[in-house]
Amino acid sequence: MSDVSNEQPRTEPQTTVARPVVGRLVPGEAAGAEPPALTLRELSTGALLEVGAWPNHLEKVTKTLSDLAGTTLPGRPGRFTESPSALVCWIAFGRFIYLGAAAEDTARVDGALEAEDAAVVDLAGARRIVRIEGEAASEVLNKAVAIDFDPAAFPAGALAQSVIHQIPAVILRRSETVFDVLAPSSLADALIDWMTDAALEFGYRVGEPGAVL
Amino acid sequence: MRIHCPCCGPRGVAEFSYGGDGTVRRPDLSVTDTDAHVAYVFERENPRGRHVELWHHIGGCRHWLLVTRDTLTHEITRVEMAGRFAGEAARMPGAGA
Repeated sequence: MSDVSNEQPRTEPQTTVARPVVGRLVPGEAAGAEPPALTLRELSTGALLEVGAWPNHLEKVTKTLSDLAGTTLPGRPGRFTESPSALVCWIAFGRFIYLGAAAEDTARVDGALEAEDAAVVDLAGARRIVRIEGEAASEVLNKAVAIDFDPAAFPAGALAQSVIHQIPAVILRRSETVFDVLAPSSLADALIDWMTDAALEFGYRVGEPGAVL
Repeated sequence: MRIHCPCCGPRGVAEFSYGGDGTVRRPDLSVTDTDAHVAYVFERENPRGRHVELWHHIGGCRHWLLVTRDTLTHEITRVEMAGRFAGEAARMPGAGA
C-alpha cells in the first residue's frame, strides 16, 4: 500500500520579482513609459578624493586645488567647477571632492597638499556615480529631496548634498537636464534600485557606462 | 520644520540631528568643583520659548549649526555656523545652493 500523500506534485515557491535585475544598470535595458524620457548610466572616474582643509588654511588649499585642476574654484560651497582633466566640488566649508580624469591624480593631489594644510582621503573605491539625464531628471530627484531644482536657483555648476532613499548623496547639476549623483559604493545598488523605480513613470533606458570627465 | 543651513540652504529637519542646548560650556578641566561638571553633563533647562540649540546637518554638509528656535512655535529666528568654520561662513553670506 503506497503512501499517496508523498506522490503529490511539488510546487515551486512563487517568487515575485518586479524587475529581473535589481541594483545594477544593464546597458540596453529599458523600462516604464514609451518612449523613455530618461537615460541612466553609471560613470567612472580616474581619481576621487575628499580634501578637508584645516581652519585658516582654506586659502592655500583652494589655490593648490585650482592649480592642480587647472580651473578657478567656484568661490563658495554648493558649487563645482571643471576643466578637461578634473572636476572640483566645494561641498562644505573646508571640504572638497576632487574628481580627476587620470588615476595618477590621486598621488598628485595627495602629494601637493601638506598634512598641516589639509587631510586627503582616497575615495575612488568608496563612491559610485550614476548619471540621470532627461527633461524629467529633476522631477525624479525631487521625489526624494526637497531641493529647488529650478535652473534659476540651482543652475548648471550647482551641487547639493542630501539624502536620497536614506542614502547620503552628492548631486551635481552638469547641465539643465543632466545630473550626476555620487553615492557610497556600499549603498549604490539601493540608489540604483530606487532611481530605476522612481524613473519608471517617465520611462528610462540604460546607456553605456561613461566617464565623469 | 525647515532649517536654513548657511552652507546648503533651506532643508527639511529630517536631514539634521539634534545636539542639545547650544549654550552650555564645559567647565575648565582645572575646576575641581564636581557640581560644575555634574551641571555641565546633566542639568538642562527646559525652556518654553526661545532656545539656542545645536543641530548637526548630518544629511548635508555635516556642519554643526547654532539654531535659535522657539520651542512653542518651532519658529527659527537665527541660524549660525558653529565650530571651526564659523568665520568662513560669515565671510560668505550667500553660501549654499
